[in-house]
Amino acid sequence: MAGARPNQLRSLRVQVALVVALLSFLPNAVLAVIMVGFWRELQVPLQLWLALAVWLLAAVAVSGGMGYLLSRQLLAPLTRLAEQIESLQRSTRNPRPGLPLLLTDPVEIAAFKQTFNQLLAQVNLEQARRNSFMATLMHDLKTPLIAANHLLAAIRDNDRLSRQERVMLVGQLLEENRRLTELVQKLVDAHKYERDGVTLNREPCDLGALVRGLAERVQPLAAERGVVIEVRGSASATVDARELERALANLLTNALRYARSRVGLELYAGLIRLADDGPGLPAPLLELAQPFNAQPVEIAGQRYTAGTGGLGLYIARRIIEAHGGRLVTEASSERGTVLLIYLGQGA
Amino acid sequence: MDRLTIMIADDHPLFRVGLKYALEAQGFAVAAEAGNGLEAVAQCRAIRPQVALLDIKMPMLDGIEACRLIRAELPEVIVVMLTTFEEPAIIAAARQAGAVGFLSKETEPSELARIIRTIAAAPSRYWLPEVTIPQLTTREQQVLALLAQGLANKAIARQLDLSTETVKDYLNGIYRKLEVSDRLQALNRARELGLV
Repeated sequence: MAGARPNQLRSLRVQVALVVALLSFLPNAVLAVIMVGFWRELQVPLQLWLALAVWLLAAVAVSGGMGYLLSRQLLAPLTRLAEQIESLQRSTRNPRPGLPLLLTDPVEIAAFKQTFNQLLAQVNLEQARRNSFMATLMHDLKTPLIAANHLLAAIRDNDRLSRQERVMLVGQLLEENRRLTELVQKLVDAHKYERDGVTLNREPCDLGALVRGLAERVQPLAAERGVVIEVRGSASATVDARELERALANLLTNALRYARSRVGLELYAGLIRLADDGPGLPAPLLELAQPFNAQPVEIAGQRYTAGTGGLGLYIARRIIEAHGGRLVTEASSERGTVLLIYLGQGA
Repeated sequence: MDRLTIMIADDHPLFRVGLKYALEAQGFAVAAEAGNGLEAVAQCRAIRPQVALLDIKMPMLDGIEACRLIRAELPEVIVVMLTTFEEPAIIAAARQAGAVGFLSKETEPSELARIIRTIAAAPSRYWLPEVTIPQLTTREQQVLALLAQGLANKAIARQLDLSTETVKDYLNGIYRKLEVSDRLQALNRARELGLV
């Protein structure tokens, strides 16, 4: 099929070869035209005409050769780049590695590679997030839904269940529903914050009251885990109280989930210090506080993404950063974690 | 007939409760529950259930390792994996660790009960999805590893000091064993099987 064949003239290599060949042949052609003009008047012998023809043919051959060699030389970096991209396309390594930057690369190729690698890093990140999102759906949503089915069937079919047992089961289902709704809300929030950023409605706020109110609300979880929450100090700031409370709630419930016996909140001007005596962070905070960043687990020598990652941490980080602040780790070890929440200048 | 005693290990509390009710409704005695792999091993030691139902992804110790420990120490305990994973590499690892069953968490309780009773009646019979991990030669493994790095046949030949034709022969051998027809399919399949 003629249409399926690549058009040779669209090849950069062929075009450069033609240009070089034409440029090197052109002076010869001009000279030949001038000589033909002279020789016509001088009536030169046939041998000279033959010599001119041979010379022209030789010039064609040499120009063609130069075009071939020079185009190969000039376009070698592009050819290598095409090979590297092709190799990358075949690679199934996850994440895909970037194009190698070589000292011999011309500046234009180096600039292209850098931009390409940045885009690739973005694609890799998006792909990892998608995998993580799917893992969240698989493990964090599917398992409780299956469990709920079992329980609902038990409530429907088991006549021997006492009223007390039924109330307990329904209570557990409701609690799980609340947790799932919260998880879905976090997925939505993380997506929204990633796409649009956080919109703040700042007002002067008593941080002491906000933090103490929050500590009271998470008290059932603390009691269940046998963890004591201590709040010290007082401060006020101009913040979006609703958003900041959401950020602090995420950080505080995280701390409660991992603390062994205590979680402390200390308030200073423009700073909240959150300390727990848990086992420390499993990875650097910045790495954990990414949307849909499930930490892969290793099972049977293979790495699998499973479960919700730092959604809550990511949401907290975005809210704090929207206030012009920062979320940083002061300490993280097997003795515990201390997070510093800087509220920024505007607060 | 005595009721079969079962131990359930899953890191999701509601799943344990739900499954407990579902299995008890099917006539089993759920004798213990565990929230992680270490607890699962400890519970098996303590109560010696006839059947242990293990999730794969659990904190402290995953289900595969827990299964290995339980089977090594208490070979009479029948281990069945109950999971949302379905990757062939994990199924193969579960079989190798001594699990005799590998079932989806979505399995209907009545079907789950039927399978557990069948397995308990004949523990030598496996109830795992059929996964045969093809045996590749050392050379084929080397070619596959380089293929996974995105190398073309010529580059693979150069690295392994072979001719391109020989590399093609190895690739055809790999395709045949993995039951695929091109390199991309080969790599995807190899990844699923845990070969790369």
